Amino acid sequence: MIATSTPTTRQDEQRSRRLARPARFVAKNGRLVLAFVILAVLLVVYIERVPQFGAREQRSVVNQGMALTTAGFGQTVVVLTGGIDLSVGSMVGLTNSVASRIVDDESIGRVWLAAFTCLAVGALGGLINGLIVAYGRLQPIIVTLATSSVFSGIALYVRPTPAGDFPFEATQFWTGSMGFRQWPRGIVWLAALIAIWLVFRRMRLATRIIAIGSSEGAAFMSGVDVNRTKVVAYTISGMAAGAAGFYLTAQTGNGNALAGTAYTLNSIAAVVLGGASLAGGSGTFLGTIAGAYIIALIPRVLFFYDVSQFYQQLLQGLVLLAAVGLGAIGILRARNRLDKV
Amino acid sequence: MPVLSATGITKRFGGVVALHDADFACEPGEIHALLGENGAGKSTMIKVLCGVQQPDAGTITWDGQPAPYSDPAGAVDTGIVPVFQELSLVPDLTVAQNLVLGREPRNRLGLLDQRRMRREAAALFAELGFDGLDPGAEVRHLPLADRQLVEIAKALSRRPRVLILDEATSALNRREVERVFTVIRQLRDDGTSVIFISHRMDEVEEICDRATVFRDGTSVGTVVIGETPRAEIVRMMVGRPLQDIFPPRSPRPATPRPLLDVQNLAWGTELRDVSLTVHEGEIVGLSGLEGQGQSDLLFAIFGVYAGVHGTITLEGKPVPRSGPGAAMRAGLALVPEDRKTQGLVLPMTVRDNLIMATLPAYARAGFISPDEERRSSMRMRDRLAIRTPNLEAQVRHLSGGNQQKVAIAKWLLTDASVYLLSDPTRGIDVGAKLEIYHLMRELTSTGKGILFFSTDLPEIVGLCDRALVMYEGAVVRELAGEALTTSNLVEAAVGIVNPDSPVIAGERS
Amino acid sequence: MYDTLRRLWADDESWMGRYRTPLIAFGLILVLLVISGIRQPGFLSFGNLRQQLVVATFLGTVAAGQTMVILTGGIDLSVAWSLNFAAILFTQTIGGSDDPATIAFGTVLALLSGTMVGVFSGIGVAILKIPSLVATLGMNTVMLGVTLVYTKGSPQGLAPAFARDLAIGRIWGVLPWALVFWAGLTALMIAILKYSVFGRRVYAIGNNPRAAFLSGAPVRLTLIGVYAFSGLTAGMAGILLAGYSNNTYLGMGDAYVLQSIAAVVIGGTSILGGAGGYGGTVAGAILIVLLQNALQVAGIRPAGQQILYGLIILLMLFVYGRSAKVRE
Repeated sequence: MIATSTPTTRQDEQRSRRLARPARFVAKNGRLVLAFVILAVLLVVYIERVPQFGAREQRSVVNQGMALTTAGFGQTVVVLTGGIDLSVGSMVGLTNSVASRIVDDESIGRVWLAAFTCLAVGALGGLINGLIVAYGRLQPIIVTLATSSVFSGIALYVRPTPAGDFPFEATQFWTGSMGFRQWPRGIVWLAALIAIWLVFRRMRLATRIIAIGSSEGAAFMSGVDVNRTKVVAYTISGMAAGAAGFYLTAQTGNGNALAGTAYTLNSIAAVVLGGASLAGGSGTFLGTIAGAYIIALIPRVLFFYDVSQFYQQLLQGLVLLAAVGLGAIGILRARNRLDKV
Repeated sequence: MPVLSATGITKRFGGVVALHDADFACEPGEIHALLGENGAGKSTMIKVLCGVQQPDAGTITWDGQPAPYSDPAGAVDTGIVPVFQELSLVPDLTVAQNLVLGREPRNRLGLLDQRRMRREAAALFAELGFDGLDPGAEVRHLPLADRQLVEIAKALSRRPRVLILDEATSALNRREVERVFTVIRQLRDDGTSVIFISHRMDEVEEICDRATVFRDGTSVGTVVIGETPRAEIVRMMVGRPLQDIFPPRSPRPATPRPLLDVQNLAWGTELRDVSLTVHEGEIVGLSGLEGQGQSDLLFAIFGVYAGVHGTITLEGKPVPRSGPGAAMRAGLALVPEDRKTQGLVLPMTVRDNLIMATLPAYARAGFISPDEERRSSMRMRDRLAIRTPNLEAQVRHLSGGNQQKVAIAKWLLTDASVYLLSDPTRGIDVGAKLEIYHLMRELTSTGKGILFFSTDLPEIVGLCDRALVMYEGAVVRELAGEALTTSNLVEAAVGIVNPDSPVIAGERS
Repeated sequence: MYDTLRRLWADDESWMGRYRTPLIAFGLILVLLVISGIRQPGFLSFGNLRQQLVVATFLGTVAAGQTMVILTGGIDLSVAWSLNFAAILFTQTIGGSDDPATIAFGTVLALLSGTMVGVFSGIGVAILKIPSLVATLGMNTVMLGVTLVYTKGSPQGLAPAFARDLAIGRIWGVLPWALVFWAGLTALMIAILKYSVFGRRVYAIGNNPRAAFLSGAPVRLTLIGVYAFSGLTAGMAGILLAGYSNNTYLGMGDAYVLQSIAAVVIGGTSILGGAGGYGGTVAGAILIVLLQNALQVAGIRPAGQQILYGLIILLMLFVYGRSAKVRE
């Protein structure tokens, strides 16, 4: 019963690996590619239907998803560590309220103060989240659940009822069109966010964040300061939520403590649509952008197709489930049933 | 003066004493082996030396002074770098990123210097002679052997004064092991010390200068390799001569019925055309180098894998391949290799674990009778002499040997016809091993069959009626009776001539 | 005596050690009652406390399903709109009719709808291995959409008499039917979790699904069953709430998502799964409802209530020590 075997050498292994690389890119980044495909389809369908895709429409499209994208930046970072931030929505509402209070008297000078305050408040909230998660050794899901209640409460103190004013010129600055071919200024903010992400990705911090999400034990054994890195990750998330809240103030012109309610779960949906793994270690903000705009575009598409707005959430939910489900189809072909459990 | 030494180390985990009054000392510029059976305390000693665990009693000195570290990062800074069995690589990062994790090089802008990372990685691999490793590859996609090489390279890049290799060569082929040994010898000649843990005695004898033997949680003695005969070392490890360990074979029926019959089993590239039969009252062993498909075979028979080709019948009836539940109902039982993550649910009680496979048996209309489950649990506890304060204790507090007994007892309750045991005595103390050997004999004397994979060659020789040696997913040799010896097993395991793994001349364990 | 108590408390395997967290939760309920009673005597009135317990029934019902889901290591974010749709389906199908057949049909339909939502979530989690957070979030959004489309924005219908009686009515004018229902549900939960084959598998899966699988447990079916049960309890709560307010409105389920999770966690069940039980959840639900009531009665603004609510949850988590913390 002696079998003759042809043992594989390392060269054989390498050759097969090289051939598989393009296939592996799609396999690894499949959900990311899928997200952009869906986004592209939505955009095409939308532009087809819109009576005129002029400056006003372009502005609307870009601005619609801006706040969610910004909040999604922070959520992406936290999810990469394997955690989650359920306080995003409340922080958006809080900073939205704070900004509207600061700018109350319509003076332009206050706008920059409001912006910085939003970032600071967001950072502070995120810092608290991070400290409790890292050093308190509590699960992120309940910690951020609890702090979201606290932030909402504070927001209600700041702005018990929706109110406020925002200088028109400032709104134009943040959400208007530029001189250059009347493109929406939002493009600049998106580009800035992308630039920040690309720089972030090349920092030691990003490598450590991914390491923690991928294998916290291995990261610890390699000498990474896991606690400090987590604190930074949640602080970034808070700041991003703060920035989103400020943008919302500029966009809507007033402050509403409950304005951010949908942002929590929508930011998670955006991150997941973009292909990130909730277990941590893989994902990119570029995917989150696609996810956020998919969510933001659906209502607009429905509007122009004369579909009742009542179908908006239904479609958003179905798209999310479909995208995640398609991405998960691979599991059905797993050869080892232990991986299916 | 020893560079690193530990005296009187005691360490407890919950109720289990892993180390008591253990000593160890390593001189500069030597390769020092830590020998001992699994569960003897070697790994715990290493963890204490590396700062991963703090001892409950005892002292550690470095260059004669009290150890200046208290956590793994501190130990690495001091110069003690471990390479563990549980890999410390991050799957979603590249090889180069893993090598520098914690000390990433930055360029003038403060951002990661990717090019320098790759260059340094390539240079390190060249220096060590580890060709064929791609610094840009994601660790997730690397085969185990490559991961081990990267682990070793990562440890060496820290320029340690004491390098610890804890079973770090288990997946490497002969050529790769030679490469690593060359590097280690060079380190030793340059004054670095290497602490080498491996259960491959031949490798230990080839490369080590001295060895400290552990048994039952304490250090038994330190010997010079070459001055002390192998038999004496083994006696120190095991505590009694080999012959006394294995219970005698019971008489078997004249014409034993075949119980489990496997024909032409194949699964991907891991299993190729495997056929075997287990008769009543028989213990059939699976042997060979690690990772040649032995545990895959057991999983495949038990229905854990999908896409398995071939036929499996038990007592003439085909065994459904849909999953463990179906295999169990057909009369099979599988005790998996990894009791901590697969064989047991550690946080649950002894009782819960014991009845886990047979829950419906104690239930009427879906609800369990507490009396029935208690009766069965107590019966198993007594039959296997499971040492536990009571049945409500959490299984994670039991010693390795007792945990394994619980894992096996769970399946005894199913009254299976054929038991598939995947390396059942790995990591447990000698006493428990003996009890498990007796249990296996007892099972076969009642007509059950056992298909049994072990990495411990004396076990295969001592317990099995027949042994099947596997290589690259196929059975390459069957040994029985007089031919079933450790040297024949070893020869059959590496008998296939292969450019990457030349046969070693001379006697092996 | 004190030493024995201390030893028992610290021992993980003694009766006291195992129920440590629900005991803490119940203890806090007592503290809360005492403090509030001192500040606002009306709070401790029989009538008020009884009313709060009835309100806690609704939360406790949703939290029963949530307890089971969390025990398997998952989370169910779909309860809000699963509940809402079931309630609306209930009232709109029955539409104020008195015909027993119609009422029965409406009830079954509502319960079935909740269960089916759970089945879909369960299939996503168990078979497609979609993280439960995402799968149930998606189902929640889908059910929100379904509800909007079904009602075109304005829910109709009235709750039938039996639902009103169940939610508001009392036996002999004293004991609310709702509490009887909750007692029955509690007994059922304890029976399932402690004594049934299904319950044992739930715990095993929450601790180590692979080991459970290798022990022959039907892991995927059990998980689907767990989420189906959560959907069923959401449906039940929908019927109860429809009876309580006599009609339905959009958003009636929103508060219950986070509150049910809080009730489960405060009750001592680990968010990671594998440890805990419904007894603690009962305490958690009562605590949350009493807390909100106490804050209201004390005249604290909704804003302040939110802040205190969050702070107290954090405090509870710290107090619990090992149970709620990250497994090393």
